[in-house]
Amino acid sequence: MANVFSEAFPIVASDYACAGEASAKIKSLLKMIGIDPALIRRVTIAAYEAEMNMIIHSKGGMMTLEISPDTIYLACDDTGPGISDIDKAMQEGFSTAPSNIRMMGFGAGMGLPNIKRNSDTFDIRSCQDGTCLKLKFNINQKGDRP
Amino acid sequence: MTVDELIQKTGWTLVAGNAESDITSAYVCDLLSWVMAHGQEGTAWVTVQTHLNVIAVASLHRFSCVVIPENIAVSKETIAAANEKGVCMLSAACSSYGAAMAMASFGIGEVGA
Repeated sequence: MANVFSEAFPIVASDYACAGEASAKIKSLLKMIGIDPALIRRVTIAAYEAEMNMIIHSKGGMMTLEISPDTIYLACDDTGPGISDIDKAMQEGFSTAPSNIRMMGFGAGMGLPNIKRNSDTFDIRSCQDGTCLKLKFNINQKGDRP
Repeated sequence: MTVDELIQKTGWTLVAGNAESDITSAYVCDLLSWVMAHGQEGTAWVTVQTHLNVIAVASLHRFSCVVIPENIAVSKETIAAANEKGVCMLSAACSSYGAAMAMASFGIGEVGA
């Protein structure tokens, strides 16, 4: 199926000043093309959590948004250092964020669970060279599923 | 109730943005992922966090306002970001609990209520 739109957003490690900008652009794009507000909310929450994970934990990477007639794809690829135990990382409340980051209100251990809860398809693979998160959101399904 | 009406009733100070938005609900939390998960358009968010990412979260969800309790200082950078993104910020002398009580007394309910 041919994608009708694709845009990539570079994410810089530890760039807290620009944190959330990629997610804001994604939200604006979805709003501009008339996606259901409830679905926009789900994509925005997932995008923001993925963006923050890359800023806090990774060496940086790329978020890529692709929109086909029936699906929104969000791919998040970073360059490491990877997640050593994905099963633990998926548990609500588990976090490896350092104390200074927790003081800012991050590191609640809700990031990956929030992403999974808000996406229709969730796939994560990780090794020392990086983490690859692939999300799908069904456009034709009722937006406020979770 | 609009943010401006809230200011009139409480005496809270407008720090950034404009006070025209309608307040649909209120939420008190300092963990940003919780706020992302539960906030809604029009929510008045009470938090002691004052860094730049508060503005990102408030902007993403189009919150009606961010209420900073206990006269906690807000940096020029955060105020500038709030003005740039159209996020309304209020400063209150009371605690987060006091801010929640005040809004509840004006009939502002919880998110999702």
